Amino acid sequence: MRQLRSRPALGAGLLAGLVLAGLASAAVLGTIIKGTNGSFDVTVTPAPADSLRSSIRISYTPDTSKVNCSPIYLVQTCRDSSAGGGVIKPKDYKTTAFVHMQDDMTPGGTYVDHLVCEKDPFYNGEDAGKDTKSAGSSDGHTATTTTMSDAPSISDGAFPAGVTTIISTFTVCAVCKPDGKILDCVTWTWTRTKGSAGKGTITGPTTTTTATQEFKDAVAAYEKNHGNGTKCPELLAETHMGGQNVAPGTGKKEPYDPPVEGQPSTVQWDIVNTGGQDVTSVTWTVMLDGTFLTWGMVPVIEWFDYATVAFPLPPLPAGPHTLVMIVDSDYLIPEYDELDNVEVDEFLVSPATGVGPVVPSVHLGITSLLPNPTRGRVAATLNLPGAAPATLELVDLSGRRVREFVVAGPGVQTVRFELGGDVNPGLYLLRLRQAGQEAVRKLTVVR
Amino acid sequence: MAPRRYSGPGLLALLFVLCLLALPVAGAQGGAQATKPLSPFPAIHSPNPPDYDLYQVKFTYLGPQKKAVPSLAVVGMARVYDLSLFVPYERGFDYGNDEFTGDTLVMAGPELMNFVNAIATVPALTDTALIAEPNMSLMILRDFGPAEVCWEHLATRGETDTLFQMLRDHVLNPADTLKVSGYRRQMAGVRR
Repeated sequence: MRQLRSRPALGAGLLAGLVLAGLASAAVLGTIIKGTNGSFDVTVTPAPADSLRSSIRISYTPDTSKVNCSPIYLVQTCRDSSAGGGVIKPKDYKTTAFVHMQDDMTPGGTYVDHLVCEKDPFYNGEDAGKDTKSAGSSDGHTATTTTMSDAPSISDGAFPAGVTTIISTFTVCAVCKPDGKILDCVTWTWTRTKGSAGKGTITGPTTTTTATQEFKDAVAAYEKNHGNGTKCPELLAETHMGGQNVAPGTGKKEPYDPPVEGQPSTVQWDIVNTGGQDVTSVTWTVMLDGTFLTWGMVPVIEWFDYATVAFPLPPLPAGPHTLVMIVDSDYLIPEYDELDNVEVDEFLVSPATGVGPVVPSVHLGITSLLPNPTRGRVAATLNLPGAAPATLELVDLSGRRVREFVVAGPGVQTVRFELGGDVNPGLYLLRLRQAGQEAVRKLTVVR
Repeated sequence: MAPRRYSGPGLLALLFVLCLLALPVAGAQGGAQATKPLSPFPAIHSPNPPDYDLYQVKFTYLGPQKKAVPSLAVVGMARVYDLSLFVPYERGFDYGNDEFTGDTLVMAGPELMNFVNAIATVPALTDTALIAEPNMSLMILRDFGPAEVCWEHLATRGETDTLFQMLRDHVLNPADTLKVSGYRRQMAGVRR
């Protein structure tokens, strides 16, 4: 593992700088900090020139008499505050370099320090191109050291409004990956004052610390948001038409402009790339009321960008209808090629003249579908407006029926079923039909 | 348990001696001054595609960061990436992210030439001027022929985005295209 600015000439320059600065008054060189399950070796390197960054290198070696684990990685969390103690959020900075961590922040202002699109919380873990892989281990006899380095930087122009001093508190913990056990932690700080010539000062660590609840909460938030890399990238399809379509993450319904009975209409649909990688060869397929309608292909949707596709709807009878859009792409880094999105939109076609849309007195629907994704057991709660028998079908994306149930109404019914080994992992549609009405929900099966 | 430090008087004395020995090197290097002069852009802009098989290119992020942002290396097909060749040309900025080279992409001579040709179409990208808060350093080095030449452009964030788009447009391997997009995202910033 190399450290920042480890080239011989620059290393010599750093040492010379130390001498001239008064023999390491602000530096900690080669500090060994013993913890409960191992020891940290910390090197803080002050900046050799105003334009350069101070850096820190932290290594952790597990104690073979206490630890039997492989791999061991370091996780670093960060909490920024002003001199007055107020929390500085990633989005407060006048730069977008940190905004990707905003949603991962705990209420107390702590978040896992990571780059965009990382798939694990480890500082130097298994993200090719983002980490320098450095795994520690102990088999009870032999220990391997894991190492990370850091060199924070922020320009004057990127300081948050009203803030003149930034204090970043970093907590670094050694974590046994297989069981998630936190072995030992240290805490260090980086302070940067606006207008100062340098790039900030690093202080500490000198002792081990316990893993705080903030640290644990930050890692939990990261895992929730990024577990298995499912957040990056992701394709979402969003219709511009549906009154029943809820904007993702907002709960806000889109303006409703329904087609009119017997009249052709056009639907616009956004395919959103929520991830940090471009996606290529994005195919979209639309089914109307369970029947293939049309398809298309978008060559590229760039990172955090979207493409709008439009297609005509044929004249339809008044009443409820269902559009299903299946979005797929053949691109991608394998670890992220996991989401082929299906979007379901129910909409009403208005009568031709005179009266408003036909709205059932009680809307047919699948009000909950748990768990989703599922490993096999499913509980579907249904809202049945009439007494007529209803059918509940699970179909795969080719339209093949996998399961079928007959449910009696009216009222709220819960159907429980289990999917065995005959049902392959993937995306399915759960379709509820009663008296000419239909409701559809997507269901993901994982193993 | 109390920490154990390598900071006893004996060690300090040893460090002091080592530092004194290092002073002449530090004075020459200083971490801030290039020891070899950069060349203007035309010096590395060859019209011969095979020449580019021996080129080395380095993208180093210089902007705001908490976690280190790995650098991207690109080499011609006949090269093995050698970071140390760039060091004498570095000018007073922090190239520490180079220690975290994440990927080394290999490009065929014509591919790499097309990238350099694309840079040539934007005069603002071909200068070697110092700017106050560079977002990224792009260095291209050729160490064969009559003389070793190295060119560096210090890019703003917008230029960083442009340069990565140019690189992406001229990388033929689809997997590498995606990698370039990833580095573009990290170095040019997240956008909607």
